[in-house]
Amino acid sequence: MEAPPKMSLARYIARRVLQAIPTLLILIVFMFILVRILPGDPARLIAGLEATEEDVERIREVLGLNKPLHEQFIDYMSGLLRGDLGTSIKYDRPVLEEILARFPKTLELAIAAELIAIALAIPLGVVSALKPYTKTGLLATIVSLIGSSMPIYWLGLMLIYIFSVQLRLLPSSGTGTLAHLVLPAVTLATLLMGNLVRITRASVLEALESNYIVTARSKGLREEVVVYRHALRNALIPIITITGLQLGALLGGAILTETVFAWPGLGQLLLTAINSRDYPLIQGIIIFYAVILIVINLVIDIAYAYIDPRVRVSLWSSG
Amino acid sequence: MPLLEVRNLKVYYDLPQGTVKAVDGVSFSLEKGEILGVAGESGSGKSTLAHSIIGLVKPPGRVVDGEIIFEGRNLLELSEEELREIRGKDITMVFQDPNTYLNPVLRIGIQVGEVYEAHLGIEPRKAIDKVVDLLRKVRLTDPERRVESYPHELSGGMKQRVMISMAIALKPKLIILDEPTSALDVTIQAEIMELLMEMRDELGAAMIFISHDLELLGQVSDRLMIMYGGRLVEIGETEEIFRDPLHPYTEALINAIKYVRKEELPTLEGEPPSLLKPPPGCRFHPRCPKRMDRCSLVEPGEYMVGGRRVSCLLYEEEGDA
Amino acid sequence: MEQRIETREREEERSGIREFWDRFSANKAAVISLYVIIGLGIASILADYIAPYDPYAFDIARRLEPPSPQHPFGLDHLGRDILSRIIHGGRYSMGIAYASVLLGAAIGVLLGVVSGYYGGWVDDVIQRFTDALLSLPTLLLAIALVTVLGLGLQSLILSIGISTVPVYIRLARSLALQERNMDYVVAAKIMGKGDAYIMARHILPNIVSPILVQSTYYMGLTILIASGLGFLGLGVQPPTPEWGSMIGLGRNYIYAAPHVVAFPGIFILITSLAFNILGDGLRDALDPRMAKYIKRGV
Repeated sequence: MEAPPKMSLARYIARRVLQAIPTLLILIVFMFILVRILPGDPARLIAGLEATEEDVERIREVLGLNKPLHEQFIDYMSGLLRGDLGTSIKYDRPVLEEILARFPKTLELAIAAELIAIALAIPLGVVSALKPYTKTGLLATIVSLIGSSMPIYWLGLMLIYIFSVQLRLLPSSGTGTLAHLVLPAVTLATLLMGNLVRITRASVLEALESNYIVTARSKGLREEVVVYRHALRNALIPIITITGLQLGALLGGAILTETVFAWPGLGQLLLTAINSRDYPLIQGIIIFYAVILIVINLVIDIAYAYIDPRVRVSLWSSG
Repeated sequence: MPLLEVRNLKVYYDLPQGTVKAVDGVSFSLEKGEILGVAGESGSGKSTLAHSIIGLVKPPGRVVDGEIIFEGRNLLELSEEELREIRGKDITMVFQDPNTYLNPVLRIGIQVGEVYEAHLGIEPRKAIDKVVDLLRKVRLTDPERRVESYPHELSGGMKQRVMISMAIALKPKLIILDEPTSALDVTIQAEIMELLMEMRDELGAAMIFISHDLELLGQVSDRLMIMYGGRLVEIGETEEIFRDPLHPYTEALINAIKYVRKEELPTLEGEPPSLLKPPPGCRFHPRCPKRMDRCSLVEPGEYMVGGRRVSCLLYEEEGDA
Repeated sequence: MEQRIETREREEERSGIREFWDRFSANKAAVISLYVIIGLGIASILADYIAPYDPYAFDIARRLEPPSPQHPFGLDHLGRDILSRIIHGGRYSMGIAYASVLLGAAIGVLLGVVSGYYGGWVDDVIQRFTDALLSLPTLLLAIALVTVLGLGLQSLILSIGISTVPVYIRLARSLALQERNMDYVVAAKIMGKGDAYIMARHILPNIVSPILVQSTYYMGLTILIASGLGFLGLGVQPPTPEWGSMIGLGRNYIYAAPHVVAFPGIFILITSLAFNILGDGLRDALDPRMAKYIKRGV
């Protein structure tokens, strides 16, 4: 039997990108319509309570809100295609510029949190799967439950109280040094720990139950080889997937973390935009998040295809 | 001294609903180079029996009682390390479904080479020449390329050849075959059987051949053991059993083959016994055409009839085995 | 005859419930969690009678006073009794979660069952919409919605509820897909029963348990989201007591008066934890195999 012909990686990526476009489009339309149709007149909201009717009319004109809806949409879409997300009302600067100025800080925080979570949760999950009825197993259960139930903004404040106020070990807010990164990253990492421990344990347990493990043992392989070469390698696949998928949750959680630690990232920008009713900026940030997350999903799918030889063939050969 | 002697083996599974007595007091022996066929419906305990010999019963299953004496040593008393040295070298196993028994994310060469790693201490990558020779021996086409393949790139028959190559690599004394062809296409089945028999002739290894295909077992096995509900029903020379089955269950199976030629073990009327709550007395009595009143009350012992051992009250007067 | 069958069915149902309860009650942590949830619920309902002080009565002179026998959780930045505010706040923190999970489940299950049952273009449209919503994390989606819908209790419930919809759609759809080809559904179709009847009478009852488990987990999550929005100032507005907004307002005093922040947070953690443990207990008692369909965590 010949191996099925492989689709080139480029074609596979192209297909996945094409699949992502409708998703993104629906989201953009959804946001666009929500902002314009649902209660309240954005122009009036932006103008504030004391504004005169002329003020409101002027804002409407600046935002293009006086045009018919479909024209507004065409304007907005053609802007988007050129990479133009509109102009921020508060900062009077292109929305995209404002976003790109802040995003690296959020990324820094998210990556640090992801690394901390991986470093702690994966070993804990693996050990608890190999030795389910020990203290490690219990610890893993507790971590996974508390991780899923923790209000991280509260945890952040408690960490500030302990490490900044009482022990004076770490700065409570701001950015710049590695020390500044520790508390926010640990706080945000907690958000991931619960799921990551649970999924690691479940996938290692599932791998250990597989028939190929019986084969490996029947060959007389040492148990360490059975576990590390056979079970863990297979368990890694769902773990990597979930790690990637959690980046979305991280960006959400970063909004809370950034607020607690006055971390100047995208989450802070979003809150500023909300508080100053800067609709183009709000809309731009949400769409930016969506694009980032869709791209991340895409990258995970491709990475997945690389790790798992079965998927590599089936994905690249179908269609 | 027989190569393998299993005495009063009991393997139970502790489930939340109760204890399943998958193998409940089975004894038999196997001579060097002999092929023992083991037949039974699914749930008769034949597969659990096979796994327990090589020490691979999955929890919640556990060996409760009995002895498994291989070359004079009771395998159940060996340390994990001593057992590991026997597994894959002196006793090997070929499993039912090569699709799930090969690791999907490791190359074939590595998986086969692991046998040399485990017992000769050669790294799988350095054993690649040996692996290629081995794969050629099981007549896998293009073995130089196949060592680089992943399991999903091979057909079912090719995968089973790979599994067989692992089982014969170190010239074992006993090969356990757990339905080695039942997951394969009919045409492939014949090829695999041919290969297995060829390998056996070359190695002179003993075999425990588990199958629900009684006809196939009739062709290849020296002796035959029939299991039902975790118990031995009848054991003896294959030819004799086919000529004159003693136990009503064996008789029904053999008659069914004579009249309907089917792939699978012919089905009998009635349900296979529940292993959680086996019927009282003889486990086969609810389906037995020759049942007597005592059958639901008294558990039959095992009785010697000629050279055969049979577990049925019809032969009670012949004396306990 | 028919009546006898019905009686037997009812008996079977009853023994099924007893069996479920036996399995559930063997899990001590889950039982304790259930009691915690019931206890917190009763305390919120009876807040007017239980709370030792008026949650709105302030006394600036005694602001940020630490815990004392009279005020076990201390006083906040306006000198209000924190314990009383937590008891009253439970109404909002838990009430919002209950209401939005109910709303999200109702919309999501309806759309999901329809999507899975009909398939075809209906399914395609609903799934593309679900994909789009799923591409945003729940918290971000809730923030986006609340920004648009405006502040206030109703829009808060609506926002959080809608942000849970996509996961319910996925869950109900995959369950409905399985049920769709079951013999009893096919039989009902042959008997000429209408689609709405089949969905309501045959499919829905069979997918109730996974949805119940998902909802229990989601209670744990929506409490975090609702209080998170409160913390960001996008949720329940002051002076209404709500656990998250209490933390948000108290955070400026973390240096001098950590108790203002600490106690509401402990209650959020305990409540969310109780729902998560209860969810595990329900799942294991109902059918551990459903785990693969259920979404956990953020």
